[in-house]
Amino acid sequence: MKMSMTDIFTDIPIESLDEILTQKVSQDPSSNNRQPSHIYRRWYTAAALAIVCSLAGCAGYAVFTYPEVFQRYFEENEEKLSKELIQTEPTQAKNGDYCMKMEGVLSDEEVKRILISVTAQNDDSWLCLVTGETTFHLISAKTDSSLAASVSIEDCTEKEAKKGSYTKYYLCETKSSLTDFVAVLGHRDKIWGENSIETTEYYEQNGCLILPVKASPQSEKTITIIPKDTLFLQNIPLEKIEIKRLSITLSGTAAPLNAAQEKNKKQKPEIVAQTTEGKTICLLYDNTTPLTPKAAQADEFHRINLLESNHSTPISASGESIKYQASYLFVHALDIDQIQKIWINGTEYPMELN
Amino acid sequence: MDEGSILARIRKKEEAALEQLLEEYENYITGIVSKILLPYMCREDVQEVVSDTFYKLWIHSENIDLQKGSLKTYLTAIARNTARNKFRSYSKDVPLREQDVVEVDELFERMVQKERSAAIGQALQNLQQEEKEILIRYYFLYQDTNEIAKLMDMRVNTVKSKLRRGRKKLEKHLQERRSEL
Repeated sequence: MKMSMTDIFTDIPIESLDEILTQKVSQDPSSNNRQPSHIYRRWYTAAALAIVCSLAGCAGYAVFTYPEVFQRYFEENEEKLSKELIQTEPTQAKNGDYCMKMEGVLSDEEVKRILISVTAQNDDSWLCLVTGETTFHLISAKTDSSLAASVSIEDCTEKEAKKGSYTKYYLCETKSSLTDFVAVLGHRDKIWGENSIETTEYYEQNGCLILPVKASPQSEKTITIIPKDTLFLQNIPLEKIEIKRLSITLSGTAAPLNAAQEKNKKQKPEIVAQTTEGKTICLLYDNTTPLTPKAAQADEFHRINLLESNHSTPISASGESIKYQASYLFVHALDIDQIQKIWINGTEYPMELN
Repeated sequence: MDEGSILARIRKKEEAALEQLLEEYENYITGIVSKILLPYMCREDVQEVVSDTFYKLWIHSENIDLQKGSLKTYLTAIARNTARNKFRSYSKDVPLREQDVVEVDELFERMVQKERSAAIGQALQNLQQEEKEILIRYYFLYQDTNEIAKLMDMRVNTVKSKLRRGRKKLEKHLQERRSEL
């Protein structure tokens, strides 16, 4: 019988785990009985610098960036790709209590990962930040002042810098083709209050700090494939596959699903790509059906993991047919310039790179 | 922190000892749990699992043996398994890491937890130290290969190949154990 590795490791002896956690390098930066690895030495240095700079003011703090937060999306030899997708030119907004800074953006045409830091300028404002009285929010913007009513931003991951630095980081991730965003920092009643009007003027009038954020890649690239006779989400004809550098989007149209179909709609097509070097990479597969030989023999199966998916999101309804879209975000960026051939469920299809 | 004294006080149900433990390890445990849950679940779920972790250590403190592992190690193990159970009971999608399977005998599944633990410990002892560490970081701590590469000062591709090799060796040792049985 087959058993998953993560299941097997559930019963790992405590001694084996202890050996790794206590005698070797660890994630715990508070550990003081061992030599920190090079990455933590950099972290300590950066955090120390942040403390000094936050005392000196926001401008001095500008030299610090959150350590390598976007580098995990790239392999070591992908400098070109990371330069295409990462924006590092910082912008900032400041008042007497806080300095809010856009530290970096990782984006393609569909996926935006935005890192914002917030540094409190005094003890009182820090206390408000950690207790939640001061709240951070990121909103997609239609224009400079009119904010999009329906916000597609997923929950932002909040990271606190080392104790004493007075800085929090917010890593926000969304699937959105919009390129303009607005980071807002203010009292929670003004940010989340029932009467809030989503315009930048409203937030400004209510004492919030506003930071416009532009999130767009340096160049736009998409591989489009029109597969035939391929279903996804159980029984929906797949009309188009779009592979971007940070995501795959599947689109199709079908009649509304019945209750039974709704319950069992997880089917994904199997997508295998071949690079110009001849390497095959399995980009997407369905774990409920056997792999085709093409996927089973892929050189790199785990190079690209899936971060999350939106299952069968109806994006419009007209009569009896509904358009469906499913998107899967890559954990690691994909250099689509290198993709030469694509197989869908074992069949090669012509691809178009725009 | 004197772990022996903290554990003794926790066994006596002194709440101040639990608070001390929370102060020391709450951020660390939140990091472990977030890595497993945050891509799929919200921060409230993470906080719930973190609270459960400390509560489980509190009520099962009699089973803790500091000769075998530190409080931090026990907390890590509890947090990881609690987070994973939460994830599996809730999330609709299955990350690829959960789909890495090896062939084991049915007997392995029927073993009681203590026997399985011994079998895995024995299989891990047959691996090179680096392979063992990479497997634990990847499959237990849910660290990704880039992160492991940085922590262990290795190339990402080296981590990946050691991960593959370690997995095959572990499978082989678990199967050999089956033939011994």
